Amino acid sequence: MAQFDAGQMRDYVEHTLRPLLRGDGGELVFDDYDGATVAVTLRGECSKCHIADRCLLWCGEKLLADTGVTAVFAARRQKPFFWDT
Amino acid sequence: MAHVKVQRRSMRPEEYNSLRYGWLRRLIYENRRPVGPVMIRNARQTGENDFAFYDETPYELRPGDLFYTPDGSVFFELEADDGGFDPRRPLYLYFETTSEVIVKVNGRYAGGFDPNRTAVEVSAYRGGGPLQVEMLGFNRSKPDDERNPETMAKRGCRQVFDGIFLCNVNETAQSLCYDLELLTDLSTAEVFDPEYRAFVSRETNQALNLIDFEQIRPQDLRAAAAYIEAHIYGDKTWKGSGGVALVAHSHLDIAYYWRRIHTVQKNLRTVLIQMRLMDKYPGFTYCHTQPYLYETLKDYYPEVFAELKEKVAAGRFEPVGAMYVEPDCNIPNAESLIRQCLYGQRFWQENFGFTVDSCWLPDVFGNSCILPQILKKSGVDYFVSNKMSTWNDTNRFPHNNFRWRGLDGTEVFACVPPTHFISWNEPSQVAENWEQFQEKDSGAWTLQMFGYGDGGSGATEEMIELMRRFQKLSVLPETRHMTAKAFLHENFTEDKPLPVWDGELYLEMHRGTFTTKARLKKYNRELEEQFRAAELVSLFGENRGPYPVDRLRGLYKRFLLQQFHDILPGSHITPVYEDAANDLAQVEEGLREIVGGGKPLANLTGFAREGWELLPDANGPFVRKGVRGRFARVSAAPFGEITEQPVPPDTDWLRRDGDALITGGCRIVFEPDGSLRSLRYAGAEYAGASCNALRLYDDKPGMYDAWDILPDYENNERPLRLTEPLRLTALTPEAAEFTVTQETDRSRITRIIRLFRDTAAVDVEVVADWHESHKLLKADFGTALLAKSVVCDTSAGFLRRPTQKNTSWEQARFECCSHKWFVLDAEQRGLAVLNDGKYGVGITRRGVSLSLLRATERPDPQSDLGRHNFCYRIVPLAQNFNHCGVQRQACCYNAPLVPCGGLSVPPVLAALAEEGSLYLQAAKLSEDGERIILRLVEQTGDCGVISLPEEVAVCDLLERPLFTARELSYAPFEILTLAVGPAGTA
Repeated sequence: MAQFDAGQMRDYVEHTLRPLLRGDGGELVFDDYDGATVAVTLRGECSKCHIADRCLLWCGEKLLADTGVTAVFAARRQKPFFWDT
Repeated sequence: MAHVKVQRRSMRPEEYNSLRYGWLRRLIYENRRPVGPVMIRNARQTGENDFAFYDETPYELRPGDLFYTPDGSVFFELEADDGGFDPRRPLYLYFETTSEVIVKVNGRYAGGFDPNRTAVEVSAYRGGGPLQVEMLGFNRSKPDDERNPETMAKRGCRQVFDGIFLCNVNETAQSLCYDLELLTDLSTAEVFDPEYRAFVSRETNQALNLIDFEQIRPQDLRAAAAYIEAHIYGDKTWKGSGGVALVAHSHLDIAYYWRRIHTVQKNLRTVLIQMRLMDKYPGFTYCHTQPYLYETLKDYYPEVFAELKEKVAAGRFEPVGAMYVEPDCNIPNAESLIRQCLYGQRFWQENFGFTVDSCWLPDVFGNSCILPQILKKSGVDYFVSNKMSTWNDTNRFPHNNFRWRGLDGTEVFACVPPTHFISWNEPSQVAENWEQFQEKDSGAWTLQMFGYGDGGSGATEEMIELMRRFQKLSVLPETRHMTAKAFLHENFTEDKPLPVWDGELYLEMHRGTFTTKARLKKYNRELEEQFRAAELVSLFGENRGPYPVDRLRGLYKRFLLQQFHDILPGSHITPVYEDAANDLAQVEEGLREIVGGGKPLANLTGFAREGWELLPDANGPFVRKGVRGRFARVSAAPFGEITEQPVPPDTDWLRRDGDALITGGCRIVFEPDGSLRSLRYAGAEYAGASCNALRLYDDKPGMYDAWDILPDYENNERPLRLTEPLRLTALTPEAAEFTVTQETDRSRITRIIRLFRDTAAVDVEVVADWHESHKLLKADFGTALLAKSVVCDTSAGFLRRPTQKNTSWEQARFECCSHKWFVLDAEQRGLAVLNDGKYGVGITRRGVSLSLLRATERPDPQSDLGRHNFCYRIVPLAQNFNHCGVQRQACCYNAPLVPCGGLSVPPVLAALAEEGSLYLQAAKLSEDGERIILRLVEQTGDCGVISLPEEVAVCDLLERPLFTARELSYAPFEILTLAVGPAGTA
């Protein structure tokens, strides 16, 4: 089973996944990776998305398909102030 | 008496009506049969018609599966077996989706699905066995399509597939539903009289009572429809008045929450949908803007473009709008706006055989006062916009149909309808439109634009059906569906008394767009100048090859695309910015190749130039805007090579007198933060409180983050720490350089302030490492002068803005657009501020400021973050700004010396260069390649007559000759286009 270190995971998140979410008006920020869970922050349109769980699941599927690495994506949401109700 | 509020728990009649309407909607699509298997491949769009596939081979998509990916597209292939469907009834492909899908059946483009369209008719493709269906979907529509709450709940980058079906339409149920859609609006919208609403609600209830919803029978549906016809449509008690013209269109943002590459398919889908509606409804007409979009259709979907051409020839599909794209109309300079019209009209002429006489800009954030002249001289008599009447936050824009008088006095007819440009033909929208229409007594009708937009798609079948029913409703104004041209020609005639609006069409909203995405603004300014240089050099440079007409035109059109009103203003997502920056970099590279280098520096401004310039020198002591060099006093004739003037080799020109610095030009006292405590020049004090002071404010306008600045921003100032007080960091015989740094917890802003040996100008270079969130950075220019107005550059003349804030109109203009310069004008003196790429100027009770940077998060969380490098210059004026030649100073500030050697210009151009107030805005080869076009703009508000050494052709802005002359008169702020030559004889 392939493995990533935190730097490799950061690169993957920032250069592979982030551009895709940006294309939907969103923003994905890498926070941490502990070998099993990739912690990210959802910003922009992603911060209020009602199907974010599906998207995070897909991120895990894509990671596995692209790299052979298995990980779960967990997100916190950082909304702009005007959505932070 | 005690009042007990009754809480109603039972269902109101109108709620029951609405419920039953919903039940009837379920009947519309009948005999639904799933088709398949549905095979898909996921992909991501990488170019205008290029895709990178995630799946090597298609796989089956089953109901309940998730499909689409972030920023993803899907290619569908399926067979739809139409066996068993009655061949006498129309057959439909049915797909409920929040995505945007283009449909091809048996190899022919059939239509599209999107959140507002679930059925595509496929009857025309039957008869040859199962239908071969190919579809291309893009995962989303625009993010805030609140019209359709059901689809808003389903949208996202991963969607659940519910299946694709063939079905018939229950036309009786569908027609009844169209009636009920109308009646629901009539019974609830407050624009209608309460008694009328109660009447409609009551009679709708009676009609629906004829249907047994336990067992719905066709004859009951017909009975309900007949009841509505007789009792509601047949009742003429309530009478409306006035006239509303219904024009179908679709506002299509070239980039916004999607990249411009996606717009190619959005445009295709929009055009297909509208053309299929034309097939079904013989009287339906539709108008569509932006020649750029037509070009993409022609390039990538020629068969659809061919069909479009037929429909244009038949008068059904109407090209409108002279401009190449729908650009921002504050920030592009006059030449850019002229080229928008030139290339736009050329496309119409070359492809359809005509030019258009309208400018159609419904969503633009205000319009410069230089536009009427540009439009008129580009063959446009009618201007259509919208936002001033629907978005103004302080004052109601007082006109809807009017004459718009521009800076130079030219007038065009203008229409700013009272209601939003996206409407869907609800009767209340029509009624509100007439009710709010302000020129009722002119005898004209008001304009209602209908059709979904922003992301395109346009009119729906429902909108057309509602429109057809309007004639039955006596409560409404008279309505007529017509083309845009018919509306404009019928309602804007010389005999109709129309008011005049004189000046800019300022939008009291979206004021932040003058500043958001600072790099794009700077690129815009720089490339406008580089295009000027490239065309000049190509025409008149020595030892040049043939004029690169195709290359220049291609580069110009790519540049004009970036001026689209959601790109240049900064109201777009991160990838759009990346695309724009890449496009602009390529344009810049292309222009650099054309100009070349390795030759002596030359002055291309068109007037004699003298002043301090940075000459590149690898060993120079100064670095300005990333270029190392040395300052030198240079002079150059118009179009000539520079000569350097000797400077005494001493540094005694800069003396201290206590806190003051005395140069050969002025006496200055700096504060430690780089602001000016005093600036004395020519016997007067110019600096007031907070002159050249940086100010940082909270900038939290809300959801329209990138767009807006709130009027009370000055109440929320944030501290800037002075970490490196002003100090002298370089001194040469030519110049002195001072550096000061201010910081926040996240950002660092260094200003390099330069003084020159014998001028009073204070040049400020800003190097900012900017990582803020919701902040606005400004530079204040408090002055001791009695400045009652701020004179602002429009790029083709100037306009005055009062500094007093007495009226609500003056108060609303607290942030305005100005181009290369503005002057705090005190009649006999002034304080000028030149800049190299800023457009936002604050004019408040506290004073005047230049907006430098913003840091917004929506739509782009990365907006403006990172490094910025820009300059501005403070110039005290000892006379009226016109006498001091501020316009020329600002031109030089924005027009670097060009390494092209001197130019050999025709005698007529040399003669025009002598004329003080005329500025050579552009020189180019005519579009037909035959002549040289010279574009001149009167900049000072003067008039005069010039005698020329040869006869010239005076042309319009489409380069069509009007008359010839050897003696040329010009008027204040006039834009003149002359044709000389033939080309090659310069």
